[in-house]
Amino acid sequence: MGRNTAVSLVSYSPVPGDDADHLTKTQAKMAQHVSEAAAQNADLVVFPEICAYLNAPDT
Amino acid sequence: MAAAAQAHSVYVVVPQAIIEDGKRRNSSILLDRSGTVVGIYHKNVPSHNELDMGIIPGTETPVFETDFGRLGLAVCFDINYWEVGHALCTHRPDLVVWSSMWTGVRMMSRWAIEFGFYMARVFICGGAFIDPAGRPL
Repeated sequence: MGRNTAVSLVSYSPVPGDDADHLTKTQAKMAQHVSEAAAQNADLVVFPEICAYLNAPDT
Repeated sequence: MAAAAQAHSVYVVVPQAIIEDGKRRNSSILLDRSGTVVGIYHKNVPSHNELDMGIIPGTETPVFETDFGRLGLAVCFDINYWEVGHALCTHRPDLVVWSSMWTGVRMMSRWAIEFGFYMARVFICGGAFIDPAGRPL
């Protein structure tokens, strides 16, 4: 790679699908993660597979 | 996500189920610092369950230019298939981002060593970086 690169790997839990507004809330949550990663000078922010739908415990 | 990428001037990889030209895909979307879609990778090897759900396999392994290097994308079950890693390798990525639902155990190291690129993994319970020698960073 051409230079040092900061990559943020976001392990997170989307808002559960039984919440009627889960997609909007999940998007807001993802945007917050992007903001936090950018504050740490990330060049690239990466989310997990099918990131808006999967449910898992927060880690 | 495009607005967030633009607001913070970062690249973002958004793996998502999408419908494109009437076909259901399990894909990974790369946004650039302006929030523009740089490219989309369609999972080449959907799982059996995904195939039963109508997910159509991708047939290409594009590598995308960024301002920090050449970026390849892969998704979950792909990691089990040498053909996908090799196809990515032919496009000479610096880094392959593998979004997944599991750790991949040692398959990331195998790909990194055999194909000579850095790898980054993220799933819902953790992440990892592997160098081209197959070592966790």
